[in-house]
Amino acid sequence: MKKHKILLNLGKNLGNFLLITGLASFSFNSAAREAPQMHSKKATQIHLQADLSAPIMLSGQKDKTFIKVSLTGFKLDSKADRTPANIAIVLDRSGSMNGEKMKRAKEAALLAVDLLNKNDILSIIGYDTRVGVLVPATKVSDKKHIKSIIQRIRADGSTALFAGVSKGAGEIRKFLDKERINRIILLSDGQANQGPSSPSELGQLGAALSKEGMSVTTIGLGVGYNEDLMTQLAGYSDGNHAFVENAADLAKVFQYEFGDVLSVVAQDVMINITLSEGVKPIRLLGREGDIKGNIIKTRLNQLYSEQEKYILLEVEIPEGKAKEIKAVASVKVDYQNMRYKKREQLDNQLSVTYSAVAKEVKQAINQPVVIEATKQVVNEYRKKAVKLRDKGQRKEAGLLLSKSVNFIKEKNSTLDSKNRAELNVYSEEISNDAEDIVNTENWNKKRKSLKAREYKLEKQQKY
Amino acid sequence: MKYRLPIILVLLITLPLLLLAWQSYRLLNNEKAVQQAQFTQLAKLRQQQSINIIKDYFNKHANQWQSQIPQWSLTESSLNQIIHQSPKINQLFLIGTDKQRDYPIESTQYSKSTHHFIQRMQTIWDDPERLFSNDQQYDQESQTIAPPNTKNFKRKTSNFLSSTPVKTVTKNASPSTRSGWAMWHWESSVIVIYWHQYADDKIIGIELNSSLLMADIIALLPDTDGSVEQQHYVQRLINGNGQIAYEWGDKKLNFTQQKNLHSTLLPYPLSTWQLEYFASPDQQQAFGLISLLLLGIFAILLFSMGYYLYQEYHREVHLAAQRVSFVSQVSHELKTPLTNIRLYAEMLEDSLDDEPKSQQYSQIIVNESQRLTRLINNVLSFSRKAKVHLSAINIDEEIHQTVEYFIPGFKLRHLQVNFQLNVNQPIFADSDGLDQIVNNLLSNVEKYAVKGKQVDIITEIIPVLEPNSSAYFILKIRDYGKGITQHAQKHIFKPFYRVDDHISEGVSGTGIGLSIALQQAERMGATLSLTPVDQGACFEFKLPIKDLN
Repeated sequence: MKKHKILLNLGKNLGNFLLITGLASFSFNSAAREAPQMHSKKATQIHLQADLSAPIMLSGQKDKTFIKVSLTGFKLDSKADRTPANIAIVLDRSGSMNGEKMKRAKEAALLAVDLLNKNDILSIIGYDTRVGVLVPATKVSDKKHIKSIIQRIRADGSTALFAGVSKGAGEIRKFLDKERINRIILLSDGQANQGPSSPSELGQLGAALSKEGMSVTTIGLGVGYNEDLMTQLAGYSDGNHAFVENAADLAKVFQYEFGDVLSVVAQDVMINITLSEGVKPIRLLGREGDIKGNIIKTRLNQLYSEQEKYILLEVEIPEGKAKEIKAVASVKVDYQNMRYKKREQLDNQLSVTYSAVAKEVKQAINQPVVIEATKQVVNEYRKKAVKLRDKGQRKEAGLLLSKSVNFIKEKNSTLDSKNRAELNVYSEEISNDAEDIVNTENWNKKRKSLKAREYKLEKQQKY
Repeated sequence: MKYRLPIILVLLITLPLLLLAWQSYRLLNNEKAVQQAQFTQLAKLRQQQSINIIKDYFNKHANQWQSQIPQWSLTESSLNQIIHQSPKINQLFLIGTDKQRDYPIESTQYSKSTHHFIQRMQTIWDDPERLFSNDQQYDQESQTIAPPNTKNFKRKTSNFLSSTPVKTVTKNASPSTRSGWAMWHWESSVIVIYWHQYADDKIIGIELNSSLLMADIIALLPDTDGSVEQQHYVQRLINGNGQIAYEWGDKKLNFTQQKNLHSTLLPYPLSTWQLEYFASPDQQQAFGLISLLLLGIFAILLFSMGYYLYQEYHREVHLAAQRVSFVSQVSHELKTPLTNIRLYAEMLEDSLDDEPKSQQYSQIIVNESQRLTRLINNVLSFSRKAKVHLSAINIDEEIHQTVEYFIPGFKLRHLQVNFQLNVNQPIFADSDGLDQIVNNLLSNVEKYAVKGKQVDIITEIIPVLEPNSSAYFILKIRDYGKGITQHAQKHIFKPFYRVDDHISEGVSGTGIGLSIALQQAERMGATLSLTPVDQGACFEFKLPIKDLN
């Protein structure tokens, strides 16, 4: 084992180096994950780890493999360390919210006020046919005043969602700051029926807001909202998305969301992967990114404390001779450290070793990467299945998911028995989805739940 | 005659009402025109504020890019970087000096977004000059347009619309540097380009992120906060596809009527977009309502006044009828004792000896009771419509008898009666009626024309003159008194009319004599009229003669 250990990375600062292995076995890998806790100095930096699903390849033939670039936020020592937030809560106050939903939404908003302190900035926007900036961006010092305004919200009219988000962005912009967490939290229970309303338009807006340094979390309430629109908006701006079927769970979701928001440790995380000569990019899984020639660029809006976010890149590696070591990629990460208010850089090199011995190749397989890659690949199938279902091809959609279940089982069988539990659970989920997608009953609700799970997996959302 | 009063009353009410209504209608129209003008002015003013916000937004970005673009390095990686980092920029393109596209670089494998971008921009690749040559289609100034009816101008194909007039950057050393906006529709969305031409003729174009553009404009425009300034009007932004992009203003107001709507096209480069303004109709109709209310109150007043007058009139008529009926009842009651008085007076006269004094006294009693009888008969025939009994009578004799009664009275007053009775044949007439006519005419002579000293009583027959007419019996009673004035002649046949001058002074009378005479004449089918004579008055009774068979 130790023999295969290859030191790939020596960071720019020698003191910051991390041990990353291209040939890491699972046991070693888990040790590496614990690394940030072992060195207290590292605890103030993002933990970058790049792995190949197959660090040893059979010589004499080209093959496909996954590169996983994983980023984990460091632990915040105390509450006082947290970054001040700049939050816009954009509440749906259209007629459909009337009653229980409005009551719960108010409760959740009141809870949000309590979770913030006077260093934070909050604005509250209500939208129906028109948009009202109920609380313009202000420091959360007079909580009583803000709460009284929340209590007065009345539900009526249609849903000008786009305009609501626009006004939310306008309020955030008043105090837009790289050293704050800039987030819009959008709550909606209905179709956007006033103003721009296509998922692509909202996605485009999300992408632009993300470039400005904001992210949008979208919370869909009930079964009346447009999940495509909400996931696109959240996805392009790298916010969270949640499906809240029961209004009573709204407060809980707000609690989670604020848990995330208030634990942001890095923002504006740029990931740059440069592939070595001969290595061809095939696709990025999950997150959107730019693939131009051999350079792959992607960006995360933020990293939360002690949460792992990753990207998966499928590549084709050319053939090589046995015992040859080939450089595969170099990974560069550039981010804003919120704790120390400065930009920091990390980098990592990946290489592959060729071997003529099939057993060696099999032994070297990085099983956690395979698990994640399998999940993400199947997630893509699941997206495709939903698209088929939307076109009315229910049987084909069901078939695709059944095939996916087989695919998961097949992959799982190559793993050590102790690592199989996770994929077993996942295959269970997919086979349930396969049943749901063929059924007509409750599809609207199931689609929302499915979309939300899809999103969670894609973005590694914690809640 | 019966409906004269109601008609007069209705006219009295409706005429001023109509006049008032017409006046207030005109006033209302004027007011409306004034209000419309005010509305338009206010609408323009408020819309201008919104338009200025949008104008400023575009100007700000134009200025910003004008200073930034010359500093950009035009390598592929740095352009990639710009797209990657600028939220406002969706895509970029660069056209080289040879009018060919330099960026995005020609490739076999475009990313999805680049592929779409190249499709959208086909019109630019065909002819980059279009960016700055096609500005004539639109005025830079926004223009007022009619309420939107033709909203659906969706463009499936890339329909190149416009570009701003060329702006020369004077700050720059090179005079050939220019820049501006361009806009067109692609499928259902709007494409907004900011372009910049370098001194060496290279053109760089920035495609704005249209969603962010929309969001930015929404964020800059006012929200709906329910403040006082926002009361009574709403505004909304309509995109090139006729969809509402954003609306704001008075919470209680919705875009309901076309009437109070004012639309303005947005300035460049969003010139296919519209700004609509709608104001509360309450403000406008308040004046009309008030004037209508006033008019209503006035009408009610007039009507109640008219009704009161009508009621009063009816009361008077009723009262008069009651009086007449009372008088006739009393007269009827008087009739029986009077007959007895007359009877016994005549009997007394016969049985009296020839002592002249006693004879004279009883004669007076008889005469006066006869006079009273006539009076009572007059009253009764005025109040009760007696039936006409036509019979063949010897008319001269009948008249002579009636006149006989008056002779003693006339003698006392030295009035001589001249008879010229020329009808010696029976004629169909109502003897009671004729009696009454003669009675009334003679008692008038007795009252008013004693000073004339004589009275002529003439009867004659006028034979058939024309084939279709009949013969007439004529009775003329003429006195030589003061006569009747021109003015009084019109009224003498009306009941209760008495000639109001020195003639009637000190003379008692009921004022119904002539009207009864006329009434009786008419019942018989005859006429009674005053014929002009040189002295005194002459009444002519004219009865068509019916064939005795």
